[in-house]
Amino acid sequence: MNSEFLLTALMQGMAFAGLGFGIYISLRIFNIPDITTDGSYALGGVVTAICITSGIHPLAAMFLAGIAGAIAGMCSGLIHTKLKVNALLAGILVMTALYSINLILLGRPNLPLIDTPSFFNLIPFGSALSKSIISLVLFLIICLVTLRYLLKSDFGIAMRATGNNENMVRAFGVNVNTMKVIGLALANGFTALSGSLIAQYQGFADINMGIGIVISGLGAVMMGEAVFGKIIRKNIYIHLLAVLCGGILFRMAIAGALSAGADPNYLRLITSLIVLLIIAVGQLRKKSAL
Amino acid sequence: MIQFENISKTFHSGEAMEIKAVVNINLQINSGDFIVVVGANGSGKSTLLNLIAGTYPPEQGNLFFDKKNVNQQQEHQRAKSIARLFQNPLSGTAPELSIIENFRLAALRTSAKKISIGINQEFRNRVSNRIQLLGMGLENKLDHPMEQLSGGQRQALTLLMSTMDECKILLMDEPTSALDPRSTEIIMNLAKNIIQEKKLMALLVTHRLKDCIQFGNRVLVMDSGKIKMEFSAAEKENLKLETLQKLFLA
Repeated sequence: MNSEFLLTALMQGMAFAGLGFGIYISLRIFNIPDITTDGSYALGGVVTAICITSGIHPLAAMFLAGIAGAIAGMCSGLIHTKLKVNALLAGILVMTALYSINLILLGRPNLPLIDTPSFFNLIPFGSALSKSIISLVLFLIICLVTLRYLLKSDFGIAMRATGNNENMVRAFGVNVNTMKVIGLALANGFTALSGSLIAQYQGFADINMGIGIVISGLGAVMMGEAVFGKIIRKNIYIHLLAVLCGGILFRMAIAGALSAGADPNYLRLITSLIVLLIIAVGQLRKKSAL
Repeated sequence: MIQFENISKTFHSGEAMEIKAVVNINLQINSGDFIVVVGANGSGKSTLLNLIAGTYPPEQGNLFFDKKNVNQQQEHQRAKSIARLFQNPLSGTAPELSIIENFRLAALRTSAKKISIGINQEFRNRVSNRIQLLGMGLENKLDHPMEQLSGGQRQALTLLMSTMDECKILLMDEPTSALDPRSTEIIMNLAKNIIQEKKLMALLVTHRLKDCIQFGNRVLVMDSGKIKMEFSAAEKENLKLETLQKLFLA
């Protein structure tokens, strides 16, 4: 594996961090397997591409992408809590609907972002590579600090308790349904931010870019937990960092498989197999620990 | 004051599994009352508590809190005045959250959960002082996740948590049935003290007949969803364990 490959994986891993955080919120905090992710990720890319090509500042475009993702998540949350539809099914419903919505918004299957301003060249100095890395690192620091503050706040405690013991938080005056809707909105907002970054990074938005992406987010969360082990329980920062590192390692694992000569057509198969491998290793570890 | 007016609650209504959990209950609970509720399994004791908590609305009849009809109020809305202790000692706390975070949530039972950090040194001291009363050494473990504690410890903390914020009513549904005798004693004494100190209205559902003698000022005996017998404060003073035992075997 050459260094360029590693670097690409590192950059992708960082750009995918929002996706990891999204899955962390929906799956780990709320215990909801949220498939809306596939749709809201593409929505993030689509909204960003439309905004940037119509002259809107990349940061504003990202903000709007995040809001769009949050609205998508809110829809899933409302379907799940108000219509009592299974969370998985609610996610599939919204994801399916988003496919058409993305196509309608974009007006065509993909939109290139060539010679347009982008998040990755906002910094006025340095080489293209250093600009990208500094922007990404800054973005991640802001994400980490914001998320940590949110999760440590009184609101965040109620949010984390909701996924942990629903009956108890209800007895403590928390509206569980509202909490879930907000949680899914937040999760999909982060996911859409990730879609926005990837669209700008690869230079195009594509309505198919979200297919199967939920597995990448899952891979990031699980990889992080597998590598960091039990210490993630101690501190939210560590858990979030684990998700971030997990995402980067996950990208590297895929890049490694591809550079070892795997056919790119097998990309999704490889992705799924890596996730499966992480789960299997986790189970074996648990057994040997008993 | 809580008033039950002809309240009935049926589960699986119209199905083969239909259960008439509570039938035509009329009951007035005054402030300062500590009612011990006994009865066989399935006699409607827990349903009575759940109706007060608002876990589900009554099917028939009206429920009043201080003369205000609360039929439509949901559980999280009623939580402003109600604290609960469940049968499962693990169900009153969030396992993955730390002790201090659980207490923070409890302290905010009646107020909004804002996006600001509420756990500061002052709050930690307040919780620590309170936990010290248990004599379990937990005041040094504020940042430990709840799941590392025993059932008895968690139930004791749940009880303390109920007093972190204003509370008028304490509902206890067999709070000690899963605990060993020592923990049971600690929990029940703690509950008694808290109820007296905070002048709470309390309901205790129990299978231990001697609780009827030891605690509370009124005893309700339930059977098939109805109140079979009631002992007022005066009657309770002369109540003997044997009388209750006979009543149950009859």
